[in-house]
Amino acid sequence: MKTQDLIGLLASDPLPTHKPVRQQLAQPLAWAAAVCGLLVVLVFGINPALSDMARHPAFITKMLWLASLMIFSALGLLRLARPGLNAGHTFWGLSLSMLAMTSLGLVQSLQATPGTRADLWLGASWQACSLSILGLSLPVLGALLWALRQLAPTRPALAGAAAGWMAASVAASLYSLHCTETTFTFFTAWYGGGMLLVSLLGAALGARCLRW
Amino acid sequence: MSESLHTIEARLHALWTASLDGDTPSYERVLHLISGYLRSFFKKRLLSHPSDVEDLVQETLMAIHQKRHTYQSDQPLTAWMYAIARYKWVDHLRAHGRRGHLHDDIDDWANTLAVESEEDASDAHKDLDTLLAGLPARQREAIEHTRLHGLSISETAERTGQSESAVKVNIHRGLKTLIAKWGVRT
Repeated sequence: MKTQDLIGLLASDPLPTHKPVRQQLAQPLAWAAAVCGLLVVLVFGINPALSDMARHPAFITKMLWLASLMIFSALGLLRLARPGLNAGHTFWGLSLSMLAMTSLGLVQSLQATPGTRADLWLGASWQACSLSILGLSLPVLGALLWALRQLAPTRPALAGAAAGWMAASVAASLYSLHCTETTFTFFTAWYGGGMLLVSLLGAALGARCLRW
Repeated sequence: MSESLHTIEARLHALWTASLDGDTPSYERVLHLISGYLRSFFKKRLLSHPSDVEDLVQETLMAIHQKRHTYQSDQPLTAWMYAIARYKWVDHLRAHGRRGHLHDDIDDWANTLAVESEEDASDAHKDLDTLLAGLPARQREAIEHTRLHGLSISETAERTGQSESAVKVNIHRGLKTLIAKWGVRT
């Protein structure tokens, strides 16, 4: 086909109505987060001492940490979903947030007496934590990748990684309704590890299924 | 480049904004201008495979068309457009790098591939029929009338009873289905 003919065809194609990029990402995210929250309530169960937990400094610090991860990955997603914008400060922001929690964890570990150190790192639920976050983040990651496919990420792996961070931090926040751990060491190792896994998974999936 | 990005942006932006508001002539005009910029973009980058330039121009135009909802007015149009072009170019290189050794310019085979007899031509026609048979009737007849029998859009509309814009849309959709199904880029 001649290029001029193609242009004629394209020009005659009616303009579809599309929501703004922000909404195209936010709506699937909200639905998937609702599914994820439901899973936490039904499968894991809410922590019975949640009202006490909500006043615990470690819990509040963790939620602020997760919120900062969510904000940075959301900003990154909005940029990476569109051609012509680079990742900006996304991955710097995510790395600094991780570094902050890791520092808190290390300080806590170094201040502890040698005998209690292992307990600090392993907590009571280390076997379950990372895997639960990974599992809970799957619906969110799926929804975000689907939304990204409708958009136009020119760096598929990076966009997938940002989607992974977003999905993981949403899943981790909701998992916090169940989790009873209160040490920074635990958050660093198991929350951080689980989220890193999800982001790697997002990058791998993104490189494959976000081509257009 | 003879023109700076700044002047290209100035030329395209107003037309593009009008197109997004539904002004078809502006859209056609801006796509035409864009195709020119894309052509020189790809020409510079595909020196060893000049025959791929036009394919990439068309593919990028399709992508620009399909993804035009991802353009937001907070960024320069040229940045958006060249990012898509670069993406398609890298994609092309990747596919080409993998299969580069399989590449044969079709012009080198012009004699072998030329249709020599009536029979060959009718075989080709049969293949084409099979291809088109998979499409919904309205898209098939739109493509047959315009692309195979050489009728104009309005003649086709008259014969098939579809409106002119329906004919255009059906051609476009039909071709898109064929591309997706039979793969222009194998």
